[in-house]
Amino acid sequence: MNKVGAAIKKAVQISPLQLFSRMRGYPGFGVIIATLVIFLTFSLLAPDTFPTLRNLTGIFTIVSELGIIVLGVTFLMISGEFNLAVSSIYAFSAFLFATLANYLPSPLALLITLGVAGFLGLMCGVITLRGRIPSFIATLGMMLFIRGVLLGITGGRSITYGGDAIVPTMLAGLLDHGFRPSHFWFIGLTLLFWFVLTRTRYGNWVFATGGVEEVARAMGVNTNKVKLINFTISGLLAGLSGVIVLSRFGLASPAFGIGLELEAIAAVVIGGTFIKGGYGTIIGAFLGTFVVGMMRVGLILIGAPPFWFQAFVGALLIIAAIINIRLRRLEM
Amino acid sequence: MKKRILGLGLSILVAALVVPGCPPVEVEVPVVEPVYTIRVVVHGGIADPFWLAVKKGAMDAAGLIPEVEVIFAGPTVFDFEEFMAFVEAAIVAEPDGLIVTITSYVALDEPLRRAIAAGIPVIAINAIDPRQVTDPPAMIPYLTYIGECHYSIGALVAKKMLEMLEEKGVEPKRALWGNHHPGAFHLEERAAGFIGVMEAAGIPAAQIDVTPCPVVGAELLIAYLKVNPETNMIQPAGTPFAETFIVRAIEEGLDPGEDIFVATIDLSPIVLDHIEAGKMLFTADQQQYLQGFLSVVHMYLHIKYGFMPPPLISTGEALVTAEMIPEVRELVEQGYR
Repeated sequence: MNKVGAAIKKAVQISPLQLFSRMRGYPGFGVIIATLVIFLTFSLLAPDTFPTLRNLTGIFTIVSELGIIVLGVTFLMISGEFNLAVSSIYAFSAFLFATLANYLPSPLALLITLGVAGFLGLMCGVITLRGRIPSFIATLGMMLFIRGVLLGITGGRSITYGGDAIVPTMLAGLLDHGFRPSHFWFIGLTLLFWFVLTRTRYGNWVFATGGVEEVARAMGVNTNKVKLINFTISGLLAGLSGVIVLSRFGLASPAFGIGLELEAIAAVVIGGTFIKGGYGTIIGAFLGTFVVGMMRVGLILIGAPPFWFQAFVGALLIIAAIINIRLRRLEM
Repeated sequence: MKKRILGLGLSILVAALVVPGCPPVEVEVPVVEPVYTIRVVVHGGIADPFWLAVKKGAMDAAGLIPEVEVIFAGPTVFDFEEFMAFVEAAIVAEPDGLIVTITSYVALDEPLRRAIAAGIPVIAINAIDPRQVTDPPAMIPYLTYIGECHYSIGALVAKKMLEMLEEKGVEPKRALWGNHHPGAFHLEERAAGFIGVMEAAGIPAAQIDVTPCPVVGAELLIAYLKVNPETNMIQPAGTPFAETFIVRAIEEGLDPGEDIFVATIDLSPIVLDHIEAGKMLFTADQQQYLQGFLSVVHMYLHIKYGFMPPPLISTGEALVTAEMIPEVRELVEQGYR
């Protein structure tokens, strides 16, 4: 018998119970099940409206905008830190881009905006690490500071986009059946971040930094550098998402993104990432964002009282956190 | 010595040129120091154009009454706990008068009764103690309430929408009210007024939570329309939500002003543009400048002369329609509306 035949025989010999046992060890296992259950439930309860292409592309639109932020937050959380300021960076970037694009070509305005957003993310990291304060507190402060500056500058008023159509078309122009470029940006970035996290040395450093930091340092990983890079990425992606949303609506409001930071963290945790870091997957975060997006729209489509959304997400978050802790214990 | 004489001579010459030919007359300008401190605390956010108009009203009134000093405070963005801290701080400062939004009559009951018992007169603005309507003996004993009647403004939006649809010859089918802070008394009352009038007219109406984020809110409203496509009247939940909803509705192939009719509460430049372009029917205006202005005037008259204002002063549930836009736009830019 050749090697392939032996491998097939071995695979066939695995009982369904053993297969389930192996699968549940995967950090994204819970969210895959949750995604399927929620999709099927809403499809059964609202067969005429939920599983339609137009509705699913609509969900994909809000999922993409949240999801691009979630990717950055996932990297950061795996390395053991939070960034609550992403929601304010998102709103600030939308305003900055709209203002700059009124005077500059939109691609240049985009580059400057992303640079500023990345810098704001980096500042969150510098304050956290240099100040030796928990990132929860440092970024909470930055979140309030940036939102306050935005409100102060704008006087609370929305502004409309008056620049060229290059970036808006590239990021959020409406395609057939409700598809948008932002969907493909989200998928592309998910694949890129998945590759970096699972197939590169930097990915190993991210896991090591969020695991036992002292051990990571002893192994030669510059944990502060890893965290600063991840803070910068989280700011940069929040900025990109802000420009996407501005491109979609053609206007920016200082109220954009209020509460988004908690939804992003919820999506990351539902996706299987441990809140204390060291463990998580990009694919899980990708699906976790879909869970949040599907619940948001699905509850309305099935006619459930929409005031219950927060309760559902809260319950799901607790269940996801419990499952994650149990999975970790199983591994030990 | 020569230099001194020359300098004196030059000084006299300059003085003669500056004050030509008339003896100096000393005009005594009476300098009135503020003797009454009035503190205004609102639930915010104070960077919001809406609250800037309230602040302008209060400050303009203080500018007309030199004996009054107004100190205006509130959180930058809506934050109930921070607002309560501002209220407590204002009471501790023992002002001559306190003007406050009754954002939660339950939470404000004890501190405001304490303030009133300590001799600080209180005027409520913008948000009322609902017991003033339902159970007057139980209400916080403030001097007066100055602001919108929440139920009435919601009802007014519904009535005006129905009236305008009738003028256009469009049959009203279903109505939707967006709420960005479920549980906030004034928003629930507005919704009750809107839904009450619609249902009395035999039109199904509903309220949904659109979250505090206008981006998410627009998606939720669109999702509701997919399930209830007969809906042709919407109040999205204030100006930022109206702004994003119009964009999404057009993207979804709807034609605001033709097959779906949108109205909101409060003003913004983009909302005024939409009304002017016929994409929105109107916006309701609670004329919040008056809430700041009248409250300071009434507080001053009470502190100085003991005048008692009427128990409820409505700042008028005004409507802004397309023909009023040029005038209103100017007033918005000047910060009055």
